[in-house]
Amino acid sequence: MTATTATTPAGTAKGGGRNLLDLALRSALLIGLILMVVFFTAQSDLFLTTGNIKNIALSSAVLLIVAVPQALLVIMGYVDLSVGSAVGLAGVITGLLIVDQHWSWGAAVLAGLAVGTLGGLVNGVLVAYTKLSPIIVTLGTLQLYRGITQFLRDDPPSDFGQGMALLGRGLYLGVPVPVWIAVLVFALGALFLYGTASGRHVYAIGVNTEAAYLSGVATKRLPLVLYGVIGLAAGLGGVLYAARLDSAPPGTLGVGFELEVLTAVLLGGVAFSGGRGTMFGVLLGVIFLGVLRNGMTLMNVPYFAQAMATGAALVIAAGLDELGRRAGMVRRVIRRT
Amino acid sequence: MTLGIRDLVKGYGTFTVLSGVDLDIAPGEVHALLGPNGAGKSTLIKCIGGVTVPDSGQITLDGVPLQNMTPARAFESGIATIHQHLSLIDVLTVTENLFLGQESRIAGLVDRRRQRRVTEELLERFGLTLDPNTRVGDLPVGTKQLLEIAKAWHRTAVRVLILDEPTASLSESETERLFAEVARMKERGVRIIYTTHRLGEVFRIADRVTVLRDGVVALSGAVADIKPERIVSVISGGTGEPTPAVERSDLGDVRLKVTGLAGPRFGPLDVEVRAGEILGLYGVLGSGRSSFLETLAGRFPATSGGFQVDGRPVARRGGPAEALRRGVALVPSDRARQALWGTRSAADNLLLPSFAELGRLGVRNPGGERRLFADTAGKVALHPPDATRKGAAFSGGNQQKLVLGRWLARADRLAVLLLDEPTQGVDVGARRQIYQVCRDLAERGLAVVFASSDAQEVAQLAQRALVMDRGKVIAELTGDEITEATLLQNAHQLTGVTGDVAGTPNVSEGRP
Repeated sequence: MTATTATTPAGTAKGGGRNLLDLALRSALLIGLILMVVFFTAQSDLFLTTGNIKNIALSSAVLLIVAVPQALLVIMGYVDLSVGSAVGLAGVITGLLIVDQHWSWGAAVLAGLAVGTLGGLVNGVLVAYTKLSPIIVTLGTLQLYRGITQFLRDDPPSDFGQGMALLGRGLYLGVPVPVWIAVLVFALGALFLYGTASGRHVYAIGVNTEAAYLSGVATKRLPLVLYGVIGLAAGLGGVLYAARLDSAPPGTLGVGFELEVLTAVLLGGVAFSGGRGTMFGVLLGVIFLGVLRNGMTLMNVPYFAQAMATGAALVIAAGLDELGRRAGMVRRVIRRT
Repeated sequence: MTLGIRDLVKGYGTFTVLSGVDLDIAPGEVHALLGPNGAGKSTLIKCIGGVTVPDSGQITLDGVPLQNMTPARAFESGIATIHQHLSLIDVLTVTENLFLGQESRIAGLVDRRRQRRVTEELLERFGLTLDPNTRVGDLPVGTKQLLEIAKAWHRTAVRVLILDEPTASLSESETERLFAEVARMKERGVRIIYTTHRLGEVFRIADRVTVLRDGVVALSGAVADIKPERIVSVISGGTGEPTPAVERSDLGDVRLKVTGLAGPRFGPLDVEVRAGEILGLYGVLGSGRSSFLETLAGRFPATSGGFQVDGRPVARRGGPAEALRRGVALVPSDRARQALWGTRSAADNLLLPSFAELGRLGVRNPGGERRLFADTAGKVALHPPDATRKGAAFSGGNQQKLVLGRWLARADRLAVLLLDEPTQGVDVGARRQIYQVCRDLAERGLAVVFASSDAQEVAQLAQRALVMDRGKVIAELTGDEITEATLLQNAHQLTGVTGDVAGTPNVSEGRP
């Protein structure tokens, strides 16, 4: 009897679904999110209102835009820690081109995106074509790009005009423009990961680089391209932040953003060691983080307590995820023997 | 006063590896342990070394039964195993390695002076003139091996020394130095168990020889009383079954033409393989067959020479992607490390190189993927044929079918299929299916080249065989000439150790 279960094609998948605890552990983040929404709704009348939901979406939009390519990198076994400074650099350059050089907002935005992409490609060349660690390289460029940003200008350029206002705060069908862009980026990311051959290669590199290389996968070019893409996304994020604030402070724009992105990605169940993760998980991680921040702000929870809660959520999520996988593993072994 | 092994039995699941092995080794005896792959040599060594617990039977050392063995306890009782993969840590110095985990201390700090003195004494005793502060990673492999023996000597009173294929990766002069050390150990009354695939070495250094076959002792006795031919015939099971005869005239044009190709640990080689031909490369570990195949597949750039596929040269530095564009694919030997994505689905494992070709502009084609998976899984008889099952959840044989199927699925775009140890860790049933796939592919006009250290496999599958040793082809056999016996004879008899017997090894140290 045990043998038949083991050889049933979908045995493991069905077995996992049958067990309630297993399911709970696997969807711990989703359950946590639902409980949190219920809790905040009970605590504050303001929480479950159209205006506030719009707030949460707007504040999560840029996070999602950069979290999508970051997740792809982490699944592949790489990481980009420089995105916070790339956001700052792109935002400030866009701002000063409009304010100081009197560029049209469209041209300035394109320049900002180009700067972000270039920053990403620099990371990509260094990481993919040398044996340097991605952590070291991007930790270095995190500081390099911040330094360049502050060298370019001391005080924040501001007052960018109509076009930028539309980009940062405009509504289309009642939904803020940055949220539309984030939805588009997420859709493209999911299409890439699940719908293209290169998306399969992302997992193949993350799980076993040597096997991917011997199977003809471009194990250097693909990381390079994705570093370029995350640079582009960070550039876009910088432009959107600057547009929303109508100002681009060189010393603070995007500071700490890289850790926020990484927190969302890891909360969403992407393995830091690579090889594992889903786009849905990343979306969930971003929303979870956004709801947590927003709800606590509504409840007037001081910043230090918010930080503590975020940190605890990350560690608990990782712990539950590990527990879930171990339980699944134990059950499979028991079933097999 | 011997190492005695009585009626040792060990099985894994329903598969019996050792079924009642007896062995006696006296102090000061060098005992060679031979046998084909899968005969149970490794398992026997693991039982003696405490790595594996036997199901039944007894091992006694100087009359004392060894029970509840662990590697640590075996080592304390004086049984030291020197594995092919050495346990030394490259980034530490000679001294640090010798004392690792057992550092001499003064007031909680490492007593470097004492450690250095002990190391110098030990190195002198082993005839190694090298600086104790040398990083082990900078030493040649032969010296590392002697150091490993010295480390064991330093840490326990060695009574049994197990050398598992010690000469596989050694040069000839390094081999001579090892043999000198073995002779010295022998004088000190150590019992030495020695496995090798090079028969010539047995007649150089061993006193007695035991051949295992199918988990039992097939031959055992004093080396002086046994002729080499007899050992060869026992290792090969006394049979010389002919290969399925294939008319050489069936063969098509030359698909793979290798000219003067040299790479890591092999060459220069000249080889031609025709459409429809199955070429076997036979050789022991370290014969260069793997690096030859991996160089053809683009894993390493050739150091000189080159090769053509269907008359077109393959770029030297293009990597596996370039080799694949030219139609050269490899089924590598180390499945877990080089070929399998354990946590990914069977579909990903089978179709990864095909996703782009099935789709348009990089966008995947789910219907085409399903059909190709079903079709290929059927051809290789994948069990279970479940596209969503994770790679690691399949048995060894079915994992290998996934890897082989990866290339079968796009065989139309291939000219040359390379397989390195195609049935390692594969059960008998899957083995037959894998052979069948190879024959089908050859019939479709591919040139198939496989490397194996299993003479039986070469005899069964190859239409032509090249015997390799130390990176060179030393014999070529075709058709009915290819039997286990002829392969073994050519690989061992005259070429096991070609160094001068008389020359006393000159022990000195330095980088190679």
